[in-house]
Amino acid sequence: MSKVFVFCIGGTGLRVMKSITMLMAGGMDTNGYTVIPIILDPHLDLEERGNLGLLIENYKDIRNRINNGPNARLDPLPGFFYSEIGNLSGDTGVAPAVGAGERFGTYISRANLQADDLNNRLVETMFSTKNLNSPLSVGFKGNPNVGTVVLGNIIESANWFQNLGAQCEQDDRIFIISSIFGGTGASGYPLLEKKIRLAENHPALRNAIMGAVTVLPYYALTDPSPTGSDIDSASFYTKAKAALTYYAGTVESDYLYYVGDQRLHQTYDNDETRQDDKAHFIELVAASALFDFLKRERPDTQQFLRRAIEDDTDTLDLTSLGSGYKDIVKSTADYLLLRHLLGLLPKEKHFPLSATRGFNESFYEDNAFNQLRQFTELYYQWYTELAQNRRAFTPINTEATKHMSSWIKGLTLEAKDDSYYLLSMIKASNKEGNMHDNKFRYFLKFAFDAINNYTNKINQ
Amino acid sequence: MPIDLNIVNLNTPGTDWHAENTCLRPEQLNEVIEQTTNNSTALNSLPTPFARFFVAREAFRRTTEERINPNNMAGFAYKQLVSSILDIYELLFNLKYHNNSFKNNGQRLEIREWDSATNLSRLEGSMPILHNAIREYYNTDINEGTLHFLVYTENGRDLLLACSSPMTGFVTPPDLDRVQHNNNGGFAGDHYRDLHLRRKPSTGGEYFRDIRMLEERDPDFKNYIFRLFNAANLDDRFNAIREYVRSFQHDPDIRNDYDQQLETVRTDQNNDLTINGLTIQFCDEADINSYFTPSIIKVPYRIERERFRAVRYRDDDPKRQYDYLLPFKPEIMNLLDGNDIDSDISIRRDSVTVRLRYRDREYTKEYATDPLHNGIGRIVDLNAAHINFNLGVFPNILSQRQEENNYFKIIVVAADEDAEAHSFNIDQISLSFFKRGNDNTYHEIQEGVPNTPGVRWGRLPAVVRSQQKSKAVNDGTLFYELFDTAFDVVEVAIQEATGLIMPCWRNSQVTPSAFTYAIDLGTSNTFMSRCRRGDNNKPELLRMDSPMIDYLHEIPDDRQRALSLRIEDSFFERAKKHIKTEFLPAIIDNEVYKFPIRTALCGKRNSTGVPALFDSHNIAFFYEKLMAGEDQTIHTDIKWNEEEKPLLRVFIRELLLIIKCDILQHNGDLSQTRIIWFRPLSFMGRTRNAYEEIWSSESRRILGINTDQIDCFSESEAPYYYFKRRDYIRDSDAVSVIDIGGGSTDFVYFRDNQPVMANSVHFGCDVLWGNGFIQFENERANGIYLKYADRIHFKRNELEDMNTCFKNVDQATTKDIISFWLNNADACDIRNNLSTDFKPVFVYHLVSILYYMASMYKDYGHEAPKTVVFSGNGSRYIDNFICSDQRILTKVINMVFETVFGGTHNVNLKLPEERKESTCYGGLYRAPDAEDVAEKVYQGDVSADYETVGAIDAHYETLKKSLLEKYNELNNLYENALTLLKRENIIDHDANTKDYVEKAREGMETPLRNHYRSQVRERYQDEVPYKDSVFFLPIIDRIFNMTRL
Repeated sequence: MSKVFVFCIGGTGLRVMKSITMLMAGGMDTNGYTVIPIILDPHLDLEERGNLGLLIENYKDIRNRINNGPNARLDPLPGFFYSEIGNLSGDTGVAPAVGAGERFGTYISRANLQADDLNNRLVETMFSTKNLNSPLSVGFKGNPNVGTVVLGNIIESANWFQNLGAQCEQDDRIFIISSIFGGTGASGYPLLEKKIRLAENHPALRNAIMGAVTVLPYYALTDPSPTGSDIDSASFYTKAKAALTYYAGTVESDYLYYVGDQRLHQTYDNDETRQDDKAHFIELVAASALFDFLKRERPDTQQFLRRAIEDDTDTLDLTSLGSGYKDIVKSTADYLLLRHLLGLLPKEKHFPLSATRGFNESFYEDNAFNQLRQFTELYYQWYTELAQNRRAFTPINTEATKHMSSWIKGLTLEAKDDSYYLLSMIKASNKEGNMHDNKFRYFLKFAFDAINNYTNKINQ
Repeated sequence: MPIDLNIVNLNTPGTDWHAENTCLRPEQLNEVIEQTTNNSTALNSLPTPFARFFVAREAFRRTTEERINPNNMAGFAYKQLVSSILDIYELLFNLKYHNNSFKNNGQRLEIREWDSATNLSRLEGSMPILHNAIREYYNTDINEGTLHFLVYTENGRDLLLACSSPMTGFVTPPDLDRVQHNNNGGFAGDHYRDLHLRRKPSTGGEYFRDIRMLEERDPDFKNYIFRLFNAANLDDRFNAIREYVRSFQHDPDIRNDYDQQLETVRTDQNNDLTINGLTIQFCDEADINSYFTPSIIKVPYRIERERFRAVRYRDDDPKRQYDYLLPFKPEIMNLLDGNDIDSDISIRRDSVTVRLRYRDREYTKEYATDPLHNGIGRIVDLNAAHINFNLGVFPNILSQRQEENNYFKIIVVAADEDAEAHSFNIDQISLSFFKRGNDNTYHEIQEGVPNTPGVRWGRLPAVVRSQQKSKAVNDGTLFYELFDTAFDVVEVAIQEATGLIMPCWRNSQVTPSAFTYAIDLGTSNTFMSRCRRGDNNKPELLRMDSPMIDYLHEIPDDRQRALSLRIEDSFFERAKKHIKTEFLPAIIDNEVYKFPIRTALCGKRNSTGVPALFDSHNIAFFYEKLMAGEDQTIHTDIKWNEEEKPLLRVFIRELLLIIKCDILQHNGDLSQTRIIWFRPLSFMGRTRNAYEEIWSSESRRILGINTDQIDCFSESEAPYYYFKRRDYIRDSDAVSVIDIGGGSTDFVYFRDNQPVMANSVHFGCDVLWGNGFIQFENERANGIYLKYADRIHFKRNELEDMNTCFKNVDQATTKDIISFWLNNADACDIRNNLSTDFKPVFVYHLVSILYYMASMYKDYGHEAPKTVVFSGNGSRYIDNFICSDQRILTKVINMVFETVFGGTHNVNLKLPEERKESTCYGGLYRAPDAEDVAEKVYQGDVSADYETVGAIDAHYETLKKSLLEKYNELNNLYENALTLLKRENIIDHDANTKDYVEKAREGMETPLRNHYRSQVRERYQDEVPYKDSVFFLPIIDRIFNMTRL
């Protein structure tokens, strides 16, 4: 099975990877590629980084539980958690962070230069005093020129890059996620691309089809003055334009996806240490780039990709998004329906599959189900964030549990309430024999089949 | 309506991912509206360590877009970066100017080469992480073998201003970015907080602090940068900056025919500064701004604009009481076609702005009392600094013949006016002189020694004549002398400040006019007259119409007062005495300063070495008008003192310089000048030779004339020609001219208009005021002096003060003091007193002269003169103190002649008004080719040969016998003369004349013997011709004793 090494650089990379994970959980297909996320972020204490790691591990655990057979692993189950998320062997896939509180100037051993060394002048040309004095534990604060040096060293000195070279095989792919207007992501993408293209000892890696999504400005930050933050979102467009100009003729990915927005619809708190920005529609779109990339063949010439939405509105549903977003909407609708079922079924004492398939109380109290439930809560939280953000991604009427035909906005489903889905699950169960004893796999299969039975209308 | 999920709407079809072959191009991003950001960290937004270089390029591209479409605003961060990079180009373009400006401030701009191979290798060892990052990007992003750093050094601290860039030529360091609202002086980096690099004054402002786009810059620079980036074969990496610069092709300042003199900027390794094939140059044209001085000197008086070029004022205040020296360095003169600096000045409360126009452009420099930064000059206000100074240039006129412009003297007088704390000394002023050469360039006149091989002209070392030395004496003088050259510009340096002074020379015209000057250098007084030759021009007094010295200060336009007084009185107070006592009058106006003058020199007390004109000595024109200073000595015994010949030379030199100035003022031909000087007949050979040498050498040196243009006549005969010409002498059968001077009395006997014989004796009127043969100069035993020393008082305070000073100064002799009284007789009672109290003494002096003369003529076989003419100022005692009635005086003369010659006589007596002038004027009337009069020596006897001292000694007894007889006869005549004068009521009837007669009759043998021994025998060798007469030796003694009766 081929792999796609997904480099998630910086805060945006983390959040896009989260969206990828959620879409995969909702059934988005990676075209047979195992996703190997590699997180590149020097933020030592960033909670978001830890949360993503947990989320991915959770995904992998759930998928493992789905695919565990009595004697061997079962084939991947289409639907929820279908595509595989793997990790780099011998490494967690998360790049090491720099030391706590270490400043850039110290990191690069500025003090080693004698006062009369002309290299001092070179350093002064490249970096401001503020750059040199910046602690690296909070990232590069929008200074990709600093990030390039630090990340370059991180990549250079870490074992995982060697492992990457060793594990990247023929037909494996590379996908790099970064923002262009920040520090870490903006610096990491060209740097990583350069490193990979220069990996002479690893021809599979060097020649791998490479895709990248460059996230352009899509949110604003509050005035930096009160918090003393060094990040001023007023400069995001300025930075993005400069970087895009630099990219022209510099980056060499086979597919380069651009995504951003022409207005900064949402403003976050300007706190460098937290960066717990809510999930955003643009990240979701950026995540969709991976799935698109994995469907494409090696191009003859470098390809640059962009996409639009149907209506320039703050609240997006299927109609305003446009038909191009059906897979995303479906994935989201499906998983949210799963969530609805996860809440409903443990209460349905008379649901026939409780007896026939063992979806009983003990099943619902089992670790697997609990893990799914936890994941699902994270999913819901993620969706809620998307729905509450600006632009708001709200194609689902999650409150319409009594009139579920309008579950997907702009589309009328046959299922008018949850009984349709329960019945459909029973039908799915009836079609399925006893191929294995993995109740968890049965549960998710029947659920997906039931949901898909109705939501598949979106593709018609 | 569909909208792209992008920062710019590109009308992406559908809502699926749309692929195309082209990336987002920069021009597609133009529509992206940026928010205004003052945050320069935006400029680090590229994923390369060399982000700065790309951002700089982008800054130019964005700025160009804004120029094309103002709606595409580039944003502050980009524009300030473009401005800063343009600043680097401008800084280097004006490198010559800045390096010139930096000289005094320890500042430096330097291009330091950074060789990538060497330095990256070193970086690998010291900063491996950075080295690895740079290694990966350097070849792709920069790809230059060498980078160049522009480093500005100030106070020993380096500040990086720029690094070379293959894309924009230069990039500035991020710390030099402008940010707002911080404590770093507006810069991102704290170490730039105090950076204040002023642009050239013509454009104003400061580099890096002002945001200034190309359109706002100096046309010279705009044209330079336009040409620089319009060169062929420019690397494509320069496209962004090239397009920016090319967008100015229609700028009105950009010209195709703009001609600039450029030179390549050099690095610290002495290589051309070439960046990616772009050679950076600087403007090598005359850096006009560098010609401004760092300070402007404000003097506390108005400069005389007719005599010196000075700054012009915009909106000048007629009540202005100050002025400024021209605030330029001397080198500026090389830029000018003529001598005129086209500049003016505007005054504000605490600052002035000087504008200099050169080649249709105006350059400015601001000066302030308290400059805020290096670019502003300092006003050195001498008044506020309690310093004053002035200078004078002598002569102030140029001859058309350059070789005649061979002597100029400049006096600098300065004072520390701070009564509390003296901090200034004359040593802290210096002058430098510059002359315009034949190649129209100006050269400094270097110090040199005249008449040394290879030295064609030069300047003598400056001499401090008066030195500040105490609280009481805090002013001084400094003299400069230029030889064999004139000058055009003077640079004045006062402490650290400098300024220019440019004299407006008067120019003599070349005309055929020729002048003869006659100088009667008398013992007491010196007279000088001139005569324009040809057409029977009359001799005339030396009277100047215009000054011969130009002083810096403005002369009050008060025509009620003499010009000379206006000049002197308008000096600052502490300068006045120096100017009067150490230099010469600005003008011989025949009012305040006129001839005759007292034959006196003012010298620096305790001066060692050879006396030098003005440096140590000068003619005391102020004598009897002003007391000399305590550091000064007055020399009055110049004519006769064997040891004072160097002083005589100085005296004659100054006279000749005045003559030269006078000739040039009258457009005379110096080379045709004739000089007549007079000598007493009694001059001994060595003295006469010395005089001849001085007159000839000094005349040659100063006037450039030869010996044959110098005539020497006897003092005795000259008056005859004057009186004859003036028709005083109608009966010219036998005429005797008796010229009584201060030191000598000369006799010339004329028959039929021809001088037959002449005689001179060292027996002038000074005998009356002296102390006989007492050797001590400061002896105060003269009876006349003793009688009046405490009684003579003057009506005018300054004269009374001077009288007190005279009496208190040891050096002043009784002759000096009594001469002072007599010269100011109108202000005291000396004339009446002398006439009343000492008439018998004067009578004795007169009778002695008459008797001597008559005896001499008789012994030489001449008949008694029919006409007797008195000349010489010394003869004024006759009509002043004896009798002005010529009838009575004639009786006295007749009585003497009758005693000596026998028979009766009716002498025609002449006591003309022009007594002193007669010698000079007579000399001018005398035909130069007339035969010299035969000089006869008369010792009182002709029975033996008395030619030499040895001969006199050999026949002393014979001579004594004859003299004793003659003294007896003289004393009889003296008694008779007194009787006659009583009879004529000239002397009161009851006046006691008996004592005088008895005193006269006292034995003469002893004084004859004693004084013969001391004055003749012991002084001269036997073979020395003795031209004086021993006849008067005891008489001198006798007169001294008579004054004490």
